[in-house]
Amino acid sequence: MKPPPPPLTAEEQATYEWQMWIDGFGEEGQRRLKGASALVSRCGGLGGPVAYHLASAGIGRIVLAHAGNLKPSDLNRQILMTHDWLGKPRVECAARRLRELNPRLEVEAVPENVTPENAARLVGEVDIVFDCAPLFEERYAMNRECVRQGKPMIEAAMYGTEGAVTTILPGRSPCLACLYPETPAQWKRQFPVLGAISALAAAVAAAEGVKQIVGLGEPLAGVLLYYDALRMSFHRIPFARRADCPVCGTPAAGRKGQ
Amino acid sequence: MRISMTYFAQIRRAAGGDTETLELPAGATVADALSAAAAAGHSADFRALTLAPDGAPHANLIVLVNDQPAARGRPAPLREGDRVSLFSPVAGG
Repeated sequence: MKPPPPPLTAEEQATYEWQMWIDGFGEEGQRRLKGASALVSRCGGLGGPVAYHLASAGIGRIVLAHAGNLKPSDLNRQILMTHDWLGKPRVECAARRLRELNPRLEVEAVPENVTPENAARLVGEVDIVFDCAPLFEERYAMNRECVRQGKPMIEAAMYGTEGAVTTILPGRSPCLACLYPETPAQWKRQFPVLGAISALAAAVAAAEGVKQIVGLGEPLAGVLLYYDALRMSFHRIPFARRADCPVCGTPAAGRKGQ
Repeated sequence: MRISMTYFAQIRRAAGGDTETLELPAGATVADALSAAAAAGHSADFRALTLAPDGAPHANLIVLVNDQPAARGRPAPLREGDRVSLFSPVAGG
């Protein structure tokens, strides 16, 4: 049983006043955010702005998981990074920037990417997961653990001028393996990316997460929101749970796969 | 009949463009349209992204016909003027 959300200090009341004016948000919603924790994997072009929006909105705790050191080619989109940090661990720079924005925020910087080995531990530490990883193996590992542990997962992804977001609510919505049942063999680690395009998916994902924590509106569950900035077209694509999904389907119908 | 195709994500790159028009026989399905497009000179990636080895649409492929999701497995035959949109998985961050 999760404890009741903590009260707000006078400083927090002043900081978050404008978002508490949103219908249905209020002080109760802000307290829920303060009492909530999120895993963000990774903190690049998607995860960076996701974490930044969560931090500015007043979430209580963020676990950032991202291995490796900052490279020049990260700087076109990874807005939590700074030029002086080149060659040093990305996740430390991201944590520093988040604390500068919100000194009340508790940040755990994990210098690892999510793997099948650490997914259970990382997902187990938080209330909600933001999947911003560039490899399907990481995404499927988080999906499996979120379904197993009953944690919501906001799934955000992009390619070139396009982006996609959906919200996975275990037991209530299809999961990532329902959407993509086979590991995409054609996906390459290096992909075209413009920072504004990934930031757009990140903003949608952060909004979905805040909605989920606060209890606002309707989630993008069973719907893939897909946009193409070349034409600024937005598509709401419904998708269904698969009875034979090896992750969230009926156990007897399970098959080898994700 | 004439069918318009719109490609997204890696399919777009494999097709070398975001749209094309196909001339297909009456009764053609989405799988027929994909096979025709794949045979029209697109890269090998196009076939790998859109079609399963048995010639059915790939399990990961999202297909919209006139902006409505097409049933996976056995989509209904296409009709003159239909707009088919194809999306492959993305994971970029």
